[in-house]
Amino acid sequence: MTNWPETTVAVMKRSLLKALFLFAALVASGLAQAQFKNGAKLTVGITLHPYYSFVANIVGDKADIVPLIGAGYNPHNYNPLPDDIKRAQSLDALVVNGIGHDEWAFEILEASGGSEVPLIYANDNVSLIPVAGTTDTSVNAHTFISTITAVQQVYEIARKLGELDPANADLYRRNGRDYATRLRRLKAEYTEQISQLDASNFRAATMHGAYGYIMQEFGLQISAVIEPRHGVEPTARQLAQTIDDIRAAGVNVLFGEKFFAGKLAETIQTETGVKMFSFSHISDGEYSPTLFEDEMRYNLEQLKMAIESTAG
Amino acid sequence: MSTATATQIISPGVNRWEGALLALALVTLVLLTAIYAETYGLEEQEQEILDWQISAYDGLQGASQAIYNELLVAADEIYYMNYYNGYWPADQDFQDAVLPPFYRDLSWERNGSLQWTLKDVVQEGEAQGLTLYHGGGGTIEGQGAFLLIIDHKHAGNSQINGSSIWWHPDTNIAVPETSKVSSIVLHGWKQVVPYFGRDEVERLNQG
Repeated sequence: MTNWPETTVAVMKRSLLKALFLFAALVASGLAQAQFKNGAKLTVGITLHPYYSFVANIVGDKADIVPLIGAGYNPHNYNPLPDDIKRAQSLDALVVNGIGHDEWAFEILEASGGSEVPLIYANDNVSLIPVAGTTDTSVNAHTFISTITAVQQVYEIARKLGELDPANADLYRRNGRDYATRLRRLKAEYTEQISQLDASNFRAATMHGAYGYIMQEFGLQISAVIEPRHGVEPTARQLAQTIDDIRAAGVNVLFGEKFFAGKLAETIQTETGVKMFSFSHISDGEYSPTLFEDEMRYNLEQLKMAIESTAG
Repeated sequence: MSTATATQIISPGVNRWEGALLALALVTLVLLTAIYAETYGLEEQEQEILDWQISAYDGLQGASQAIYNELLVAADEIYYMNYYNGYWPADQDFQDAVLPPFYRDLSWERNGSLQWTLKDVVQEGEAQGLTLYHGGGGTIEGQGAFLLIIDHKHAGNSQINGSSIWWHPDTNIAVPETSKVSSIVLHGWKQVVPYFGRDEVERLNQG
């Protein structure tokens, strides 16, 4: 009988264990696939609030939706928690923004060992624009705060879910289209109201560089953004410069943040005399199928009131 | 009583070579960091845009950029409308579906009130068809014209090979008589190239 050196035996044991683990994982994966094919519901993870609404309206009762993080956390500076890892392990697919607004999701996936979870990049077919109102040429990741880009993401998510769950692909497509029509009607409702207003004096700044897509939908421009970079407050010198810029550009409306209110907006208002309104970043509150529509309605209402306030 | 003061000079426990080595290590580190940043860290969103193309990201501006984004979504919807209804949608369908950039509302007005026409083209000698949506006659100064081309295998068939969006700097340019891409290019049309989310994901993954 061959006497193997002790280290070789240890290596063989480790290899055998790895092989067994791999085999067990393959069997488990195969069983899960088989179960899924037999009509089990998909479990779809989402990273941001709007994606909960999008997926809920696409899948109806044909899939379960699992937010990767609890409601009430700020997705800008989120740090993964142990429970997030547990949730990630239960997913059949994960819908992500993927262009800079949910990088933490990839940390959670990595930590959960679930890097094989199929990812649905909602923005795959969205044509991106730079952050408006700044000299920053980086990508605006807030495609989820607009009806046009929301519709495009809804189509993309419906397509990808249909590939994962072919039996319900047609339903997902139809539901997605119905939802898209509802979003377009919401926009049309406010467009009709805004069209009655004189917007010739409307000069807007926003605290956060998130609202380029929604303003673009209405043919409106953002003259300045207060934050120098995504989620970063300006220094005293940058703030002084921004206040000068606001005065020079004749900005008369400032959109603060519905969910992340701060003293900074008040300071700017005091210094420049701009009228204050707020936009919803659609990243707070309880997850719900109607959240996106509710928050978009809030945003459009604020936009209408802001234009009204500047009308001659 | 006198006190004697003793002075002892203590030499540092390193020799001059260690100082030189430390400096060399520092220079090497700085060089390596610079090379890494040059290779991976400072990558911009650069896309290759050919002469006959224009970027949707930083080529088109203002209203044209907005119309392009709407048209991109509309291309999907037009495909579905054809798939479910069996014909290529025209103006009334767009008004019913409140589908931008065709739907005539305030956004449409602010974006230059482009007039849209539908043209179905059957290529001679081939069982192939193209459906063209042409938008021109814009009211904003310097505004161009748009062309959405849907390419399908058989005339009147909804089996789509793909769609593309083209822009022309002259908003009053006529609808192209030809459907050949080469001919469209010769008439000054530029294909609009988007910077898609998937391009950004790829860039982020490379970084």
